[in-house]
Amino acid sequence: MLQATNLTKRYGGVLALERVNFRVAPGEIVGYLGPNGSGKSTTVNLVVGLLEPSEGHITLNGVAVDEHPVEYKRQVGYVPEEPFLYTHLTASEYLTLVGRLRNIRPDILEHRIAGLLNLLQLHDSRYKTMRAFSKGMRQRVLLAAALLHNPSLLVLDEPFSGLDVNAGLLFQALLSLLASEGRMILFSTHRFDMVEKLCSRVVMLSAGRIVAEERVASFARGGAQSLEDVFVRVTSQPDYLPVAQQILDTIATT
Amino acid sequence: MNVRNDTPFRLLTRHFFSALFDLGFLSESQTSSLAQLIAGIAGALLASGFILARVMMYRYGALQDLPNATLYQQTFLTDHVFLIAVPMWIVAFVAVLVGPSLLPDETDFRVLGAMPVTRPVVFGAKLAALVLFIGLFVAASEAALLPMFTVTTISPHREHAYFVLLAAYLSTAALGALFAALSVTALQALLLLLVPRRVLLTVSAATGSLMLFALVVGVPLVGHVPSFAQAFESGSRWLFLFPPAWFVGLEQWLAGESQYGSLAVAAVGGLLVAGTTAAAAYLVLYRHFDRVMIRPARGDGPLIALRPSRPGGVLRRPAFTAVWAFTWLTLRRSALHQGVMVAIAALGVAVVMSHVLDLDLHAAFATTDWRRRELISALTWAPFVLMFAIALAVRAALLVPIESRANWIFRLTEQPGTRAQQMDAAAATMVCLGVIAPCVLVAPVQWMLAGPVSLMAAIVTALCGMVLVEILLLDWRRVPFTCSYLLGKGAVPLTLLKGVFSFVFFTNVGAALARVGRTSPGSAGLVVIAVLLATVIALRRLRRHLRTEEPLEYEDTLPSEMNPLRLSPD
Repeated sequence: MLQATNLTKRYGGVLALERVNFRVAPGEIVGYLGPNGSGKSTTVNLVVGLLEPSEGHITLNGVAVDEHPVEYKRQVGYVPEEPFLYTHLTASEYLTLVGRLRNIRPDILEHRIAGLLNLLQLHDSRYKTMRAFSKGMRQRVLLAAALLHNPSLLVLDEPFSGLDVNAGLLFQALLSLLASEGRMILFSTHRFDMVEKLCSRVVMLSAGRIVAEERVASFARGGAQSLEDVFVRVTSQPDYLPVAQQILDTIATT
Repeated sequence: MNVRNDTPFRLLTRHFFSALFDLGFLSESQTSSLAQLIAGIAGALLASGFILARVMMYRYGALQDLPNATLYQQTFLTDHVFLIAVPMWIVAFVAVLVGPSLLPDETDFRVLGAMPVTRPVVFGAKLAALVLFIGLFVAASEAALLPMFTVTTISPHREHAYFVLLAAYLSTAALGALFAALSVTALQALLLLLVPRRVLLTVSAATGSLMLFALVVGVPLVGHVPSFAQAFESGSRWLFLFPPAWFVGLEQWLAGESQYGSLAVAAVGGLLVAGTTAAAAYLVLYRHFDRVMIRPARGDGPLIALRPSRPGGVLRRPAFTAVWAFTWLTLRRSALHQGVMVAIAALGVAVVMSHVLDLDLHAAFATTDWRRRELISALTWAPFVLMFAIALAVRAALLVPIESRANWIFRLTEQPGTRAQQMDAAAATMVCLGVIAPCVLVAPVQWMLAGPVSLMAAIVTALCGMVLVEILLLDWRRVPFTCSYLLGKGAVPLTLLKGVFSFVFFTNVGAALARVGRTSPGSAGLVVIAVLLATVIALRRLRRHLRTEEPLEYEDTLPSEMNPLRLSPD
């Protein structure tokens, strides 16, 4: 179980996250939604251990990130929002680097890299430096790197960005299977369709605070038309039609 | 925002011009401090131009009193080789540094290909930016050298009018610099067009490093050429192997000295060949812009790649192996890192070559007298110079980040238990390149001259090198290439002073210890080895202990003591 308690993060005097509480149970895919600047990426960075909270605690299967960071991070796989990779390396070299840093036995590592590259359709490109990779290919390398050590928690920040339809469908199936095997998945995204399809529960964030946390199915029972409508309502988003009209007016200015 | 109504050509020219100053690893504020640094260097060059002119004035003053013009003319020619070689060297150096940016690249293709700008505009703007960039360095170097040029012309023995000589000098120095820039551009273009995609990055990086190395090491070599004046007088053939001599010939020919016609032809021919090759390559790229895409052919791979495992092995130190492989792959594939390393290391090679070339090598190998002892002494000192330069060069290269936002994977997997292993990888890289390589390079010659006792000297030398590496890495808290880098953290004069002092201390004390190893291979030599070994072990333990205690750095920080002079009233 991933448990975040009273998570608060300040950057200097700026409050990015305020007393955020949520949990992800084994077998659960939790969607983490919020407008830009709402604190989603900050939460993700806190959960994977890249940032330290100003206040609050995070535990994963009873291990606190601040007390036992190594043991905690050993259980976490992470796909970042932007495909930040060492692009002068090949996919195979990058995965080898990650595997060694994660202390995976060489024979197991070799087997896993070969399998993942093959299944994620990167086998033909395994000896090309990633400089020549498309965004989708880089995203697949990141997913392979996140799965390499068979983590119990997978943290995904916009994982479908840049993926083609086939890879997207493969990702969906993979996430469902991982969850059915008891893995925890925290899924930060802007894609409501994916959340509705994949997630059992959704947490909505606005201006650094949680504004809604509910099972995905219960939104429909509450009378709302879709998750998107609920999101717009609870995160106090503006009425888009007038704004869209203003944009049209702006570009039409001569 | 102030939006100016510039044409796409002017906008792109400005963009390409600024991009030539972007080293790729500095933040915006750091780029501006780099610009300040460049301005400072330009100022220093200008000042040194005046100082050198002052020195030359004494020489030319003495030459004025001589009854005939022969010595004046010889000095004039020799100095003009220098005056023309300097702008050529500066422009070649800068062109090698900005290497891949000399031609439209993959980013230009991807970004500008989708914009409503025509290909002629893109290529024209790139060329215009290059001309401006090269022109800037030509103008700066010519301005710095102008006082010196003027001094060389103040003489009753002068055969041509000042303004004729000035016009000839300015034009040939500019043409020489243009030749240097075109040669580098042509080479880069040929690599891009001819080398297979899969090895292009490696070959391009290696070629750039080789050119930097040749440029730095070439400086002392030129200083040891016996006499340019006599060579010009006798029409020596070797002058045709030395491009600055071509342009001195062209300068003299333009001033009216017809005997330099063949060198002038060489200069024009060289310019035409370099210019035609660069133009042809630009033309091919213009017609096949997609060739700049560095997408290798299907199934191709790099020549050497990191493999997941060794057969049947369980890695004893996986974090060490990971960082070791990452370090070597980066040094092999990144032109920037190779360039930093090679340029600094070449300074050491240049110092050694300059010193060794001063000796009478033929006599030293043939006899057993003092000349031989002098050579042995020089070769005992040489590896220390090389170790100092290369160790610093490797350290500097490891400091420069690559894709710094990708360092999250190291941050995510950092463990106190493996930090020391990761730092060991940096130390091992420095030992391989900065200690073993110089020792292996010099050892055969030392053996030839001094026999088996040179082995003791080699062991002492290697141990001194390892002490140096440990000292250089004592406060090192970063996985190579993963930490951001702030330029100019320390005071430059103080850093230079420390560097010079360390160099003098290390090379002299080290060479003295190696001499003890060679001359007293018995008890004294063994004591030296034992003391050095104990120092290496103690420093290594201290470094490993410190690294286990402290977390690694991923963001470079300014020194905590921000106001050491206590100038603030607080």
